[in-house]
Amino acid sequence: MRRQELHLIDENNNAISPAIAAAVEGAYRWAVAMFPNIDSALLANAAERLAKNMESNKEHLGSPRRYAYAAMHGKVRDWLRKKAASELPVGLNYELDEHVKMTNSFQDAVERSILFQQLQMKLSVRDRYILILLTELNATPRDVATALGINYKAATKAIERVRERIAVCLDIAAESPKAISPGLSTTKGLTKKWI
Amino acid sequence: MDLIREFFLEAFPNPNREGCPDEETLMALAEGRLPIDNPVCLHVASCSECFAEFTGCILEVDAKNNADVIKEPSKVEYGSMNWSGVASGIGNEEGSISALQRLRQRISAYRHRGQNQDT
Repeated sequence: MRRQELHLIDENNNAISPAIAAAVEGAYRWAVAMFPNIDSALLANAAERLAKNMESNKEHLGSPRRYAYAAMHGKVRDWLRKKAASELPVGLNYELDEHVKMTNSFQDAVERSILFQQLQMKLSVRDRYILILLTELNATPRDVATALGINYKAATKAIERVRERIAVCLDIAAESPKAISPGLSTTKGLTKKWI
Repeated sequence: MDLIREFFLEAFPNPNREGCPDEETLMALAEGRLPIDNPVCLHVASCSECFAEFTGCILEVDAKNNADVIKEPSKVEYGSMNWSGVASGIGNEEGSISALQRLRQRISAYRHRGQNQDT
């Protein structure tokens, strides 16, 4: 996919400072990668406005990069919240939305919230550490063993236990009484996909 | 989005950035310059803001590596190395073994890190 160029200018249509441009472009690419279901044009628009605001307040910015990521994440959150509040599913829309993974209803938010609560309760800091190692740092069980100061066999067992705990959380979220609604198929699909 | 990533992004808000490492440290972690048992990794697992920045660092590192190395025609997309793939092995006896094997295969296809130095 071709990378979308951002048009980053300040209020006077001058090019913004390189540090802010790099920060905003990084945050924009992160948002596109992390939220692929959001139209990248919307994200680009948000990024360009963010760059303009950052440039006009650059004296007050501590770290442009840190600010850009936090602001971009906030904009995505706001957009997801507003979208859920402003759109009404009519007719086949739910199925269509689900097909393109755009469904973001209140019910989905509740289900996600239940799941996250369960994950928070069931997963210890150590478990989350293992998750980060495996999913983001591409760690091998040997790496996990090194990181935790345990032997290889114990590391594989620890990884297995994390997976089992996640599976339990997904089951609890799927069976939650709050999740029983016409949209339950989302949860069921999620569970199947994950287990 | 991968649900586990969403979990880390949403479940541990730290708007005041208490105890957060600086950007350079997060970038060093993403680049594999820090040992895997560095406490920063532990912090990333408990701070949504740092997790967001850290995943951004990984993207930047990957973009840089892909720009440098053009010999691999089938570039693995960011996000393919997610927990869904590993978790899909749950449900049968050999799940853990096959998931770990898949994990290793994906790792070798995805990124070549300083693992070679150890083995």
